[in-house]
Amino acid sequence: MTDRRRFTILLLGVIAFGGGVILGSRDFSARSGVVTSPAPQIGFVAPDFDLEALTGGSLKLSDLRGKVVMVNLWASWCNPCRAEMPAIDAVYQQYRAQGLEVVAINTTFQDSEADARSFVKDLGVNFPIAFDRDGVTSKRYALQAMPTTFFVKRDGTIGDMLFGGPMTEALISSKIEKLLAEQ
Amino acid sequence: MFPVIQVGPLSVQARGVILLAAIWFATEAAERAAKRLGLSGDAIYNLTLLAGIFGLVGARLGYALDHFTIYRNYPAALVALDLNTLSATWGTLAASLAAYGYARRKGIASRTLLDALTPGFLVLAFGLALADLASGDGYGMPASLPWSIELWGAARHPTQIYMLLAIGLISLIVLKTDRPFAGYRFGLSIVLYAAAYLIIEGFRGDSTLVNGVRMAQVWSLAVIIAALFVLRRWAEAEPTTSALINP
Repeated sequence: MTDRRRFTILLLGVIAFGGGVILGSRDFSARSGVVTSPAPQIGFVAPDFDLEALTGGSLKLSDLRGKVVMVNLWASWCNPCRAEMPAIDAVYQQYRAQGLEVVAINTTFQDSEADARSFVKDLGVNFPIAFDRDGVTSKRYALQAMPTTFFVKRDGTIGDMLFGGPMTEALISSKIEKLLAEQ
Repeated sequence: MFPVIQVGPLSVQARGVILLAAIWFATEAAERAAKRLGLSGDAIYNLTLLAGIFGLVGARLGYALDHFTIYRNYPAALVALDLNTLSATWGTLAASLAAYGYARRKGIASRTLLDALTPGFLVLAFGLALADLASGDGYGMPASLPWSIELWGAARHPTQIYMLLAIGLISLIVLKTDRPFAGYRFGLSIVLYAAAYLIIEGFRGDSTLVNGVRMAQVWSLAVIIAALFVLRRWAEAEPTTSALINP
C-alpha cells in the first residue's frame, strides 16, 4: 500500500471518527438558551436574594430583571472595597439611565452594621446598599474573598464576575458596556 | 474548587497563581528539551521571557483596543496593575509574533525549536486545565457517575480532570516516542491534544452551540486534519524519511 493511500485512509478514518463524535454529542438542551439553575458562575442564573436595604424596604434581585445589575459584596473593614466604591459610584451615575443597577451587599454577618452605615456615609455613594445579616446570600454567591463582584445580565444570568479589587472605572465600564448593549 | 487562595491578608486568584506557576515550569521544561536537541537553553529562556513581556503588553493593549471608547476616557488605566483587563487572544498573538521574530533573528526558527517548545506547551496546557479545576470553569454536564464531582449545584462529569489525565497521557506518548523527523513531536502533540479536546468537549456543560453542535469540536477536528497534512509535508521534506516512504 502506498504512502498516499495510507494517509488517505487515515484521514478518512479521522473524519469519520471526529464526525461521529460531533454528531453523537450534540446538545439541544442548554447553553444556547438560558441555564435555569442558580449558581455563582458565568452562564448560570444569579442566585436570588431579598435583603433589607440601608434606606429601608427591601432589595430583591429578581425585581431587577430587565436591567444589568452589578452585585458587589463588601465589608467596612475591607480596604480594597473602600478604594473601589468611588469608581462604582461614578459608573453607576454614568450608566444608570441605560439600565444599570448596582446592589452593594454588606456582609453584615461578619461586619458591624454601625461601621457599615458610617462607611457609606463617609463615602457618600448613591447606589443601593443591602445587608446580608445571616450570611445566606454570601454563601449562595460562594463568597471567598472581598470585594467580589458579579455582573448580572438583563435575563438574570451571570455575565461576568471578578474576585478582589479595587476595580477601576475603566474595568467596570468595560464589563458592563457589552452587557448593556445586549437586549 | 478553590477560586481564591488566602495568603495572610491578601486574597489571590488561584487561576492566576496556577498559570504563573505553569509558565515558570513550562519555561524550565522547554529549556531542558532545547539542550537535549542541541539548542541553546539561554536562547529558549530569552525567547520565553520576550514572549511573556510582549504577551502581557499585547494583552493589555488588545483589551484597550477592544474597549477603545472607554480607554480613550481613562488613558491612565492602560498602565493599571489589574490582571482583569488583559485579552488572552491579543496576548497570545503578541507573544507568538515576538517569539517568532526573536527566533528568526537568532537563527533558531526551525521545526527543532517547535519540538523543544513542545514540553512547555504541554505543561501550559496542564496548567490551564488545573486552573479550570480551581476556578470551576470548563465544567461538565450533569451526570450521576461514581466519579462525578459536585459543582455548581449538580453532580457533573469532571471534565477538568479528564483533560488533566489526557494531557498526562499525551505527554507520555509524545515525549517517549521516537522523533523520525524535526517537528514530529510538536505535530503529534497538536493532533493528540486536539483529539482529546474533541472527545472531552462532548462532556462539557458550557459549550458554545450552533444548532446543537459544539463549535469547539468542529474547530478541533479542523486542527487535527490540518496538523496531519502538515506532518505529512514535513515527513516528505526529510531526506531520510522520504527514502523510507519512497524507496
